Amino acid sequence: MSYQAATIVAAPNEFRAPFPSYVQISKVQFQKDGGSRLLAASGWDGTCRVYEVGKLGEINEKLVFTHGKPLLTCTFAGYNKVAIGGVDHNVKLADIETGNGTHLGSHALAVRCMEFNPISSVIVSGGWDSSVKLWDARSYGNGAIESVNVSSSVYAMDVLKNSVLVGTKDRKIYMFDSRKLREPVQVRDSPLKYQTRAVQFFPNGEAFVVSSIEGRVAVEYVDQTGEQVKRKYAFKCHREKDGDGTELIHPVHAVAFHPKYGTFATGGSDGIVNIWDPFNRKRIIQLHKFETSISSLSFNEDGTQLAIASSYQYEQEIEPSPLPANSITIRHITDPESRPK
Amino acid sequence: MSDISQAFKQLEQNPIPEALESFTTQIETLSKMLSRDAMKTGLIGNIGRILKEQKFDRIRKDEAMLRLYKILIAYSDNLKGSGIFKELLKKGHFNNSLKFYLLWAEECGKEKLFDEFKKVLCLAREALSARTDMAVIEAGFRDLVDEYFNGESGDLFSSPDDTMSLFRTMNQGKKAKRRSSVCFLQQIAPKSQMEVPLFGPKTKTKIRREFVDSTTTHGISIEEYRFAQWKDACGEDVDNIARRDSGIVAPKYQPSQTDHTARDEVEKRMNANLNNPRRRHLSPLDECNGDDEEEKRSRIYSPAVPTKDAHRPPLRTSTLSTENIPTITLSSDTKSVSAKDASYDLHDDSGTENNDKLKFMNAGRGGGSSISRPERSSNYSTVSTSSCRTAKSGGGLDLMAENNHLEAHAMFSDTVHLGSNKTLATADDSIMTTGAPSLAPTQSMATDFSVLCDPDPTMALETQQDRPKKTSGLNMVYDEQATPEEEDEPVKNLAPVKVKEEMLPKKSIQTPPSFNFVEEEDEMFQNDFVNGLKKPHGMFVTSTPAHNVPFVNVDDYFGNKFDQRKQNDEEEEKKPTFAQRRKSQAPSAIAQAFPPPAPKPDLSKVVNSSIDCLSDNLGRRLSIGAEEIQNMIVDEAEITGCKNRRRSEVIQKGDINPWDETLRKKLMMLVRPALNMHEFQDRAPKLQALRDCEVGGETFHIQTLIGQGGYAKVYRAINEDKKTVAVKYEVPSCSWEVYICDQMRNRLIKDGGEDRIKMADMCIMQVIDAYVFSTASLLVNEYHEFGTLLEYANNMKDPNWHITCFLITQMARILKEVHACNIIHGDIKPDNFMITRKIDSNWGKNALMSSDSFVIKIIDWGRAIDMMPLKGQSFKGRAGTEGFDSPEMIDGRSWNYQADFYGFAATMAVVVSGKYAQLTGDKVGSYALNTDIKRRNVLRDTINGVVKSFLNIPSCDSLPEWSETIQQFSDFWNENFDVSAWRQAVVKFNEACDLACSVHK
Repeated sequence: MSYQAATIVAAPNEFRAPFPSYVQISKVQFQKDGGSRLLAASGWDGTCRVYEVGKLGEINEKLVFTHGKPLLTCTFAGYNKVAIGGVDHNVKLADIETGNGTHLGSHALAVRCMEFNPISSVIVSGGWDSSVKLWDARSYGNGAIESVNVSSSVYAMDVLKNSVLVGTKDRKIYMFDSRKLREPVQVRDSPLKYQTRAVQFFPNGEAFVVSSIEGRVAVEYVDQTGEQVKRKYAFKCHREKDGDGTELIHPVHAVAFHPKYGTFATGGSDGIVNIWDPFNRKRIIQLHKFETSISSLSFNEDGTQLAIASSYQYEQEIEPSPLPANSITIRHITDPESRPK
Repeated sequence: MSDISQAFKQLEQNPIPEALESFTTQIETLSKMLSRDAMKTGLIGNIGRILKEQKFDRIRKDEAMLRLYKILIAYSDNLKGSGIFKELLKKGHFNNSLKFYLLWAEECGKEKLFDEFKKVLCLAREALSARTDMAVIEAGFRDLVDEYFNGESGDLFSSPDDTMSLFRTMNQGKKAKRRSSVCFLQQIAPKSQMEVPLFGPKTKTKIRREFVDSTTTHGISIEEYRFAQWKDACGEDVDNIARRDSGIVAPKYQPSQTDHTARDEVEKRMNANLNNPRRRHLSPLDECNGDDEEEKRSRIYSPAVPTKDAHRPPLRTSTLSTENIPTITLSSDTKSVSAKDASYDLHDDSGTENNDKLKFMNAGRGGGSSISRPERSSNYSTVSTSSCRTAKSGGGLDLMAENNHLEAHAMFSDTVHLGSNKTLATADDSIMTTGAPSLAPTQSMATDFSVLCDPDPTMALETQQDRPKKTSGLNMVYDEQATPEEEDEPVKNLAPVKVKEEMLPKKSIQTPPSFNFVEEEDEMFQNDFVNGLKKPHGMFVTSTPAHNVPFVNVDDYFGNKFDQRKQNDEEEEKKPTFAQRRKSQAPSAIAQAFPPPAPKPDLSKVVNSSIDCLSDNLGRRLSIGAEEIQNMIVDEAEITGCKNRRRSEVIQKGDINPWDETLRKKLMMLVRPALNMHEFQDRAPKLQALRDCEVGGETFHIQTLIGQGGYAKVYRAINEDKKTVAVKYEVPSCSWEVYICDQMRNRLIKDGGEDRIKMADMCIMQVIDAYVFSTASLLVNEYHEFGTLLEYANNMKDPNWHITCFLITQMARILKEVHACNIIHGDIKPDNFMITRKIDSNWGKNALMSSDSFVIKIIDWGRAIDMMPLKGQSFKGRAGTEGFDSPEMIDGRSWNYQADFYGFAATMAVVVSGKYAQLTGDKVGSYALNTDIKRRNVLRDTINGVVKSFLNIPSCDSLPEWSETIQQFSDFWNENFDVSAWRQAVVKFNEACDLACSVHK
């Protein structure tokens, strides 16, 4: 008598979006307002796909917006629009219902990052031309509302309410107020020694997180004077130890905050997603290893779902052959997996 | 399905250059993921299809195709690169593309075929020299020679290299790039020694060295590297893409500090709400979001587009004569008619008729037309003399009333105002010569009211006895029996005139002196006019497929008046018919044909002042000027293909938009305006809580704001009779609601039993008075202190089934009649049902179906659709109330009455469960509401059954029957009625009403 091994099925708390495996993903983002469950994904093939994600994980494609040139970023701009930007310098706004695209304007070089400020309905974009621009999501055709130059190419950006956080090539961190963009509120050096991969605000806006290509994440406080300065810290992650003690270091491509609890997920080049508790400085959970690098992460509005984009970023010296398949996974996150202990 | 065919599917669905580019990039990735065989068959199959099938015509010659061919080369065993390019040359798709020749030359370079390389260069020169600078052509080839043939160009190029370089810098921008982008990046990237671990001792990494910062240079990002790879793959010079805009306009976005505090306040409250997970009350669903906000702005404040006002039937009187002003406010005072006005009416009418014909012959060429038809000129002169008089009296008034706004309005609406006596004279001249009196609007309200009294059902009956069938065209209310075809035929009899005659106070009638003359003229033109009717003009909705749209051609509609006149000349002489009167108001196009004769400098002044005026008083966005708004709108139009599209009304091209302004306008023109509607050209007064507000001679004391929707604010106010009323202040002004309520009531009363008449009184919103201004409209409605069904649902915990059944049945009964009147309410939701009174505790079992027991009333008819003239029509698109869009709207299927059926089902869900229900399901048959009905609720099965049938209506032809639903509920009621439970439930209901009442006070 022999026991048959149990068939291993995909964990029931994970769902795959019907995303073509041959499209490299630059960014995924959940829509954050109005209780909607839309997910946008921009790809290197010049398409932006919008999915409707159900409560139980059913995922339907709602729109494929074809732009042609590789897209580096996308963001929801209001409940029915998605803004995209890519290597052709242009900033476009696509209507989710009709699929019509509107040209908003352009940067002088590729548009790297984009976020949306729903309070004033402003799209913030950062490009390799070292500029940060504001675009009105409601009245277009007039170009950027405002623009400001930073010291080097924008590599990472986040927007929380009216605050804009920008990480640049020369490892500076800028903080702007989108209401008066001209002067940065703060400029500081990145707490990390290597290239910034992602910056992200805490949901309360008091602090932010910086991740770098050197498998390291830093927690920094906005307030640079008070007691809080002492509480800042950095930690190593997304590293593998060999038998002889050498560390294999992977870049941390993505950071996403849980909207309620202030815990955050990081995704690395190693294909692993970790969820961290920044208050107790502990790792809450490590998800299983995905096929390839995690290129982008996004929590939904209530923090019950995490979109994980696993996509090879062409970052390795020796290219894997054949190329790994790309995927977007919706992972249901339970309370214990995301709450600080 | 293989990955390649999946990728191809998208291109197939949407064969545009962008999709081709995406497809190519996907194929490039796939070529690194798939096996050689799979890739080769897929690629060859797809390229073959692109070359053969017709739908790919647009993209076949796109340069992105070259990238596909480039991938193909790697899989070509026999032809190799140069072979493929030779074939392509024969096809001739890319013969004018420098990129094509360069790619070909590159392949030659790779295969070391120098002779062929030379040939390609010659070909390129031949094909391109006419349009491209030789230096530009050769630059790319030079790079290739450097790369593949060690720079041994020999006498290949036209001029020595060193002089060329001089030009090359000049043309750098256009030069087809041959240098590898990756190489370029690697040059600027930090250089680190291979042996040293990148991140310090005892570490290693798989990532490229270019990313890691060195002491002197910063690393490039992963994306930049990938982009360089991509650029190399497509051989494209993306850096030189012509940019459409990179300029920055002056910052417009400068919210004031107060703005922020208000916002923070709201945010704080929202956060507080989020943190408080206690039972939250339902709030009314909003119809419009921020998006609409913008759209509204542009509609209201943009002087560049006609205001909404201009879409409505032209306002009756731009130039009110002095004696008429009081009559407007006294609305229904029929005695104050002046004979002079009546005579003007006739003149105006005759003029307008002529004018209609003139429209065909290029309005404004009066001379020409009078030559071709000399008998007409006499008429012109009489008409214009009298119209001159009218104009003068009107002009005088205008002077009196002249203010900044009126001028502004004149500029931007279709009606022409003449500002001064001097310009007035010019206007008269033009009228004389053209014979087209543009004075239609000089009609006075007074006449209107005196001519037409409230439609009395008994009168209507009499009318029909006289002339059983053909009243349709002229009856005040739509005749349900009349089909649109009949309307095209000339109507022989004119009974309503008789009716009016009887109703008129005799003393007010005087025959104007010039009357007979005009009458003769009219007869003379009769033939002309009938001919004119045959011409198709004034189509109903142009973008609509004409079939099965029983459209009512406005002009045809009124054409019959000539025959009427002939037959009823006695009565006719004394009073203009309703139809004439409407007609005289109708043609706004006439005014357009004659531009205001004011001198130019004045014009610009007017424009400026009006903009100032608008922005000063209304502009929340002071910094946006008229031009910017116009740009904005033009931009929108470019994208959407239609102007002023409402976000909430996504209507496909070719479908009727039931909420279309012009459609509404036309429908409203077909009937006499509601008696209680008073139109003004002025701007609406501002309403402010705790202030008195005077509109049209009546004073209201505004007490408080009681409700606010997407387009309207509702205030509680006290009128002059100390009665509490609800004043709905709608921006932009909307007379449609008045029309619909009026129609609704008339249709209910017309052939109604007692039941319907009572219903009209009790259950349909009645507009006591409507004041329509150019900027906004004020609707005075009855005020009900007991709140809406929404409030009731919020106040009521677990309502007894008796009450639920009672309310649901009443809703169904009302909606049944609404639909029987061929009207779709279009916005059925709990907050649009007012509770008018408490339930009498003495009512018993019979109260359910009694016509005396109505306690609810439908309000907010702003989105109603009049199906009478659109009989059988269905619509596509969404209405836009989140959560109250029916499955048909969501699916994009056609709908008409389904909107209300769904609204009913959703409202029912709220009434029974106190929660908004979510629509689930994705196709007909599977739609459901996740209503949270307690299992012990005895009505559960009945409600679920009704919901199911209302949500899964297969088509517009198989609508459910209201009577069945009503029967279901009443059967259940009759079987299970329990007096004591009912009494208790009534007490609870009344308590909920009291609660709402106390909140409102």
